[in-house]
Amino acid sequence: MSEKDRRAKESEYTYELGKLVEKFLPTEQERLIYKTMKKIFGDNPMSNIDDLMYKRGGFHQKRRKEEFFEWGRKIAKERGIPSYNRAVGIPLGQRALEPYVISGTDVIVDYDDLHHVNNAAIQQMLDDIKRTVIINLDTTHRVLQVRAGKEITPETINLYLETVQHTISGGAVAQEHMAEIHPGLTSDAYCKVITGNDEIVDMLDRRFVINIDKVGFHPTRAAVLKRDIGDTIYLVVRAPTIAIRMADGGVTYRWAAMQSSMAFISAYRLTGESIISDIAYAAKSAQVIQIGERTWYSRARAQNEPGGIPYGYFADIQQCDDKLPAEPYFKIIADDLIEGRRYMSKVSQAGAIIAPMTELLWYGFYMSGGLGFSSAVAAGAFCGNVIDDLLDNFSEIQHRSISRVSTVPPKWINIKFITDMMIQAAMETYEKYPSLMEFHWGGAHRISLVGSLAGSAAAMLTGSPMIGQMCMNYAIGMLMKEGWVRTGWAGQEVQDHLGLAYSCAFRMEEGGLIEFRGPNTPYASYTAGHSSGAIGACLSAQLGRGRAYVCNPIIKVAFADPDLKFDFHEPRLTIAKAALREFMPAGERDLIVPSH
Amino acid sequence: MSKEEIYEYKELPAGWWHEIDWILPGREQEPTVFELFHDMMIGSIVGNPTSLEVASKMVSRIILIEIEHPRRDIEYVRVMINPTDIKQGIPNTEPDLIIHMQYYDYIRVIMGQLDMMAPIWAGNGWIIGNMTCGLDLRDLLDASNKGEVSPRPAMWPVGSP
Repeated sequence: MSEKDRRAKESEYTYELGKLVEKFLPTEQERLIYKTMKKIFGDNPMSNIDDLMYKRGGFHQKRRKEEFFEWGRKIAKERGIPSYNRAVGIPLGQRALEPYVISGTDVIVDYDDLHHVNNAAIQQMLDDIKRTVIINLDTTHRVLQVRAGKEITPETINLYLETVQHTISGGAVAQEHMAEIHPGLTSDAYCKVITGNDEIVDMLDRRFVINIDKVGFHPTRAAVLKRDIGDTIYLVVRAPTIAIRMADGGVTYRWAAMQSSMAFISAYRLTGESIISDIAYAAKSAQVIQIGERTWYSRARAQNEPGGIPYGYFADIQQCDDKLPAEPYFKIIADDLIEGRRYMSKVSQAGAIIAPMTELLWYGFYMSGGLGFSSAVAAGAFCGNVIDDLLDNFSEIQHRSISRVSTVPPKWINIKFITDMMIQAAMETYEKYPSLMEFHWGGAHRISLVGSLAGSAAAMLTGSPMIGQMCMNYAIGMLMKEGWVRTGWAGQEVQDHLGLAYSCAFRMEEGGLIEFRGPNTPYASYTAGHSSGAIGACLSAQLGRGRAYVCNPIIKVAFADPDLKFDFHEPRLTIAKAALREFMPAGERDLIVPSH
Repeated sequence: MSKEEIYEYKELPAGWWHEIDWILPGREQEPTVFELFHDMMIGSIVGNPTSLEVASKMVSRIILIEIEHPRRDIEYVRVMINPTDIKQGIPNTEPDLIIHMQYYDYIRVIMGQLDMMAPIWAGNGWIIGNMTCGLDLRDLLDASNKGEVSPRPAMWPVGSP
């Protein structure tokens, strides 16, 4: 080709992305993730080299490991059988045991303190969910009026509520010769009512009411919750922690039905007639809201176990968003970046309930039997400020790019570009920070985080959990695959490819309404690393629609109760307190064992 | 359209192009997408010092614009930023960004009457590819229409790949 014929071609202007990154160090140094990784690793977080690798003092670099070591020796001496022994555990040498910063706080803890067996708050979170069941009192009241000729008045309801506090703790009524439970062992057992009717609330003893106006909901949310709950009265029962620790979540509704029925017998002076069976039937079957359904047979768990809890219920159980106005997110982010960031931050805070409940407790603890790796996946959701940093940046990307539209249609073509944009940002962040790759050392960390981010952001914008779930599967199955070739454990398995199509399926064995799916949905039953993303999509879709709850207003209000042991409003702080050994759980047996 | 108005798709009145000062005179027919971008580049962007300054900081970009006209076939224009070039048709390598839009939305976008993202968010168009490249294009259009650029996300400053 002669010089005269030569023409420039586009392909001659391609560039090296990696080299250009160095130009933007000052911008990176302002990021929360840079500061946090620097705090965790104590070195340049963008460096590829760890000069101290394997020279950090072995397990002695962490106070908790030393404590374990001492206890292992003590136990071995006392019982004559070896126990915990660090010497057999690390033939390849000990890498850095980096501390964990609890996101959104300055609390730094040892990783071991976030293990579910070491962290009393994570245990109590599970216990508080498992020991809750909700009974509608309307049928019972109707039976009492029509069949027993009893009058239902504020006084009788208050008497019943006082009686049920006694029975739910293991106290006997009607039959005085029954064995009773030491109340000190069941001090966390109680019952409260929920109703949307202000007049009924005013007439009841306030100690027995979860008052929607007074448990921290933003007034716009409280109004929606009250309207949707209406005049019905629901009894929220908290069985004692010790009960579900001895049996399982399935004991809760039986405990509640029996003790509630006994309280009715006593409060309304009923005798052994057929109406009692109606009352018991209403409490046990007809009008009871279980937190979780039974799981399918190969899992074989009772009601109220985490595998049977629908995604929408998980999203309602968390209370991190309670103070946000019930306004659609896409309108807020178009106008106000700071307020939009507040919405996004609530989703990341909720990760401290969602990820431990699913990845750590259900898939890790109940199902796989592994005793360490799932702690890391769950901790990735609420430690290191990683999600906070990325969602914060996503808010800004959305704020800078969104225009005023009457709605963001939940269409694939409409949301794909923003998912591409955000996941590109998240993957670039991993590539820029070797320290973050080290912090999230497994594929499961990364896919669960990236998938959750994609699902949450898409659902926030459209108000559709289906689009959120599709974006989650797309991000893991397509974007991460294309960008990184492989994604590691929990990625590139069938669930993302299947999930992308099944997100839209309403056939029972494939899907159904997203909010009512859960780890018990057949295709999702082995999908470790994905449940948090699906729950995040449900929660985010609620914020996207500007609603006050995800799928059940009763569940939402039941877990707003300030008397619960675990604080569902501040999960990160509660877990942090437990890691620092400052959280007191329920269900202890000190009263019936020798002093120690 | 400012950012405060709610987006709505609408066609422009007949002969609209005679009212635009940077469109070359003598165009009897409604301009093609290539003609429009060409005229805009010469009549608006190149002559604007802010646009030139902004473009000089960007890395090389290839953008494919696909425009759907209600009465004509889909038209393709490929735009290179830094160095600047416009050509009809598709590029000979993978573009950084593909933008698909309705013709009359596109007109309003390049005239600065409509935010580039509005039809995309409303589901009336789509974009695929490197979104920082989209930010660059928007900066260029902002600079030429308003004389200043909108703030960018901190994560992706001007010049970011």
